[in-house]
Amino acid sequence: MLAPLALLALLPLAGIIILLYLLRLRRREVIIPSVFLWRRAVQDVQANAPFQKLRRNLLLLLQLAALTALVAGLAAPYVMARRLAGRSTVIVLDASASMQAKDEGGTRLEQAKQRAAEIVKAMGRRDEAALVVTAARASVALPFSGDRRRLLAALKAAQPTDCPTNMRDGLLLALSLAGKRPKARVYVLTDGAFPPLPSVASPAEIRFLRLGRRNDNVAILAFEAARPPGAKEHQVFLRLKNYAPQAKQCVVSLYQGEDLLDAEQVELRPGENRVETYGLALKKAGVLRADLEVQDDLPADNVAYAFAEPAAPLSVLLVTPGNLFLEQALVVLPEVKVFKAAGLSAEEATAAYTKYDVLVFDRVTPPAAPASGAVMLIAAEGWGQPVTLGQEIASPTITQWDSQHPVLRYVNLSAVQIAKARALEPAAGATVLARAGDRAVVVAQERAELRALAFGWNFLDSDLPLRVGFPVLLSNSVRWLAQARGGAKPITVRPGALLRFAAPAEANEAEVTLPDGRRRTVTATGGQVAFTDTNRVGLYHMRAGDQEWRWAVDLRNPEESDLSPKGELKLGERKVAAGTGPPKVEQHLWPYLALFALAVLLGEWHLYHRRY
Amino acid sequence: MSRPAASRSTRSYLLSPQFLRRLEQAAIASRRIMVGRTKGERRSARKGTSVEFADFRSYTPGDDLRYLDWNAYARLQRLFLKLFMEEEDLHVYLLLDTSRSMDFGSPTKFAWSVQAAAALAYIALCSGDRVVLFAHAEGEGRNSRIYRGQGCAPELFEWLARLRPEGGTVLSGASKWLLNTAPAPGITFVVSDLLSPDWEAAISRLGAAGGDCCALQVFSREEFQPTAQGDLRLVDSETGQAREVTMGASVLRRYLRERDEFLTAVRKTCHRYGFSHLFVVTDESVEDVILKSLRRLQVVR
Repeated sequence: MLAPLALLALLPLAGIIILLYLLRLRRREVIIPSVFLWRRAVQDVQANAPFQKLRRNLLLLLQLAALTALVAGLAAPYVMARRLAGRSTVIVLDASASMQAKDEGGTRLEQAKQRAAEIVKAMGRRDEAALVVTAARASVALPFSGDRRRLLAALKAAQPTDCPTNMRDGLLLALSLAGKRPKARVYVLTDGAFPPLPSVASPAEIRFLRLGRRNDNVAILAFEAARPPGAKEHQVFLRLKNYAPQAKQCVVSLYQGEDLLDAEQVELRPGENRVETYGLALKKAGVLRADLEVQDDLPADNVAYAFAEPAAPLSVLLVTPGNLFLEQALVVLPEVKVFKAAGLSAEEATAAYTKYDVLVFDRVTPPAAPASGAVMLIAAEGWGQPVTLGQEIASPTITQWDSQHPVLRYVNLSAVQIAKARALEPAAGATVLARAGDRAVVVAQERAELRALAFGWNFLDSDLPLRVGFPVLLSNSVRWLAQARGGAKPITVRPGALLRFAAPAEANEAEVTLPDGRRRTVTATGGQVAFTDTNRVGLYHMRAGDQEWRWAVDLRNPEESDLSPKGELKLGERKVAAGTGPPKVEQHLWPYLALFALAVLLGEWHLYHRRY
Repeated sequence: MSRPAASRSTRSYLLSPQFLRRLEQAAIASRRIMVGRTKGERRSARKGTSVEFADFRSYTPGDDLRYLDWNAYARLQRLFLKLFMEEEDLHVYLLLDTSRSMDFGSPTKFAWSVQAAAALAYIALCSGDRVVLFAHAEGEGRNSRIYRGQGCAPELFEWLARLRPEGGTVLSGASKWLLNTAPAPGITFVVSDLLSPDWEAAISRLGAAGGDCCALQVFSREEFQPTAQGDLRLVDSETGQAREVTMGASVLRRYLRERDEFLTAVRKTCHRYGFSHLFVVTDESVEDVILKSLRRLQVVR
C-alpha cells in the first residue's frame, strides 16, 4: 500500500453515493383509484420481495463495491511477486550425469526443471526467455520466446544424460544468445560438478541457482585391463572413490559378458580413494565390465568397461634424425616393437603406412600423404593434414588440455617446460587436445582408417621426456593411433563422445542398438558413420552392411561423481555465489482493481436496465 | 387525476333536454319476464287481463264465467277457461358505485355514472317502470323511494345530484343489500368500476337471485391506459395501500395484460348468468353509450 491516505477518500465518496441513493429512493406518490389491478400486475415482482429489496440494495452495493475498488486502486496496493521485470532471460540447464543424482526432493535435474519452471512462470508479459541445455554438448532447446507454454514444454522435454558437463560451452552459448540485449540475465541451474570455467566478459548478469544438497556417491574412476608382455594373466586396474562423508559398503563384481570373473566386498572410508588390482586369466579378449553394487545417489558411475586386448605386439616405425628419449621410451612400451629409420622416400613411406601399425615422424616431414594407417608428428609439418606449422611461440605454457581424450588420459601437462614450440594450425576435422593460451600445441585427427596425432614442439626442447607422464603419453598415443585400422575392436569412450567409423562402401546407413535396447538408424556419409548419441552408459552395438562395431560408454569422471554441493560458480577469477530465483518485485494491483470496478459498473448498469 | 368539481345539482345540467327527448322514445328491455307490482306495459309472468291470449285451463268452480271459451264448450262439451297474458310494470334498480375510486378521470367516473344512471332511470320512468336508485359505498348505502312515472324525474335527478363519492367499494355487500331491499325482482343496472376483489361474489349473488342485470363497467382513460412514468408509489384512494412501481415497458405490459384478463373475467362471469356487460371508458359520451352501445346489447330498445 503506497498511499494508504487515499483510502480516506472512500468515506466522503461513499457518503455521496448513499445520499444520492437515498434521494433517488423518494418515489413520486400518485393516488390512483385502486391498486387492485396493480397489485396483480406487480405481483410476480412483489412475490420475491426480499430479493427485490436486495436487488435494489444490490445496485447500491455494486456502486459501493466499484467505488471501493477504485479508491483501493488509488491507494496503490501491491504484492511482492517474483518477476523478471522486463528482462531477457537465458536459462542454462545442466543435464549432465551428476544432475541425475537422487537428492532431497527428487533428482537434481527434476529440481532444476522445477526451478526453471518457476522462472518461466515469473515472466511478465514483455519478458522473453531462452533455454540452453548443456551436457556433453550445449544446445539451444528454445530460442528467445515469450510463450510460456513453449518454454515449459521445452523444459519438460529436457532429458537427463550420463554425460560430463560442458558448462563452458553452455555458458558461452547462453551469453551469445543474450548478446547485447538490455537487462539480460543468465540463470545457470547446475550442481556445479564441472571444472572451473574461464572468465567471461559479458554485459549479461549471471546468476547461479545451485542444485544438490547432499553427497552420497561411490564412483569407479578408472578401469583398465592390460596384459604385461609374457604374462599369462591380464592385470585389471580399478580405482574407486567414496565421495560420501560416511563409510560405504559395496560389492565390486567383474564380468566378461555374462560370466562373473571376480567379486569382492569393499568397505570405503569417507573420501577414500581405493585402487584394486586383479590378475585375471582371460580365455579370450573382449569387454570387461566392472559393477559396483552400492546404495548411492548416482548409479551412472557404478559401472565401467575396459577392453582386454589380445597380445599381439604393435610395430612402430620411428623416423627421426636421432632422439634417444623417444626411442627408449617406445622400446620399453610393452608389446611394442620399434623399428628405426633416418629418412624415407615417398615410395618407402607409402609402403610403410600399410606395413607398420604406427609411424612416428620426429622432426621429419612425411614424404607422402597416407591413405590409411597411423601417423604421429612431432614438430613436423603435415601433408596439409592434420596440421600445418604456424608461428613460433617462445616458452609456451600448456594451459588447457583434454584430459578425457584417450591420448592425454592420466597425463598432466600443466608443469611441462617447453623452450619453444610452433603453433599448430589444425586442418578441418582435427581436434585440438592441448592449447598454450589460445594456440594449439597438440592436435589429433581421426578419420576412416587413419589417425594422426601432432605435437607442436620438439620433445628435446622440453622437459617432457623427463616427466613421469611421458611413457604414459607415448603408450596412450601408440595405443590410440594403433586403433586406426582396428575399427572392429571394441573401445570404451566417455559419454557424449563423437564416434566415427569407416563404413563399408555399399552401406548407406547403420543400425545402432543402444544400451536400453532401442535401435537407432544413422546415415553413412562419405564412407563414414558418425554417431553422437552416446549419452547413456552401457554397451553399444552398430551394424552397417556386414561390418559390426561394439563400444562401451562409461562415466569415469571425478568431477561428475563428486556430488558435493558447490557454494559458488567460478568464472576465472570471478565468483558467482549461489543465489535465489527471480527477485520479488512490487506488482501493482491497481489495473486489476480498475478492471474490477469497470466490470462491477457494467454489471450494475445491466441490472439497472433489466428492471425496466 | 384531480378531484372533480362539486356535483351539479340542476337537472338541466345532468342531462341535456335534447338527450332527454331522445331518451323518451327508448325503453328498457329485459330478457326475462318477471312479476311486476301494478298494471304496466310489460308482459308479466302472471296470467291476466290483457288482450293477448296465453293458454287454456280446465274450469274449476268459482272461475269468472266471462273467460269461459264457449266455442270449445260447443264442440267438446267441456268447460275451458281462456287465460290471457298479464301486462305489468318492470322494476328497474340502479346500483351506483359511489366509492372514492369513482372520483377519478376526466370526466370523473362518478360524474359519468350519475349521468348514465339518470339517463337509464329517465328511460324507465318514461316507459312506466318503477325505478329505485341504490347508492352504495363502504359503511353507508342509500336508496331512493320507488319512482314511477315521468313526473318523478326531477325528484330523481335531485336525488342523484346529492350523491358524493366517498368510502370504499363493497360490491358484495351492496348487492346483498339491494336484493334484501328490492321490493320485487327486476332488472338491475350496476354502474361501477368493479375494482374490488369481491366483484365476482357480487355478480354471482345477483345472478342467483334470478333477476336480470346489466353491468356497466366504467374506467377512466388513465386506468385503461396508464401514462404515468418513472418511479412511482401508487396509493390506493380507498384503502391507502401502496404499491411501488417503476413504470417501464415491461411493467406496463404486465398491467395491460392484467387489465385485459380482468375485463375478460368480468365479461365471462356476466355471461354465465345471462347478464349484459358493457365496458366503458369515461371519455365516451353518455348519450352514445346509452343509445348506441346498450341498444346493440339489446338492453335498451
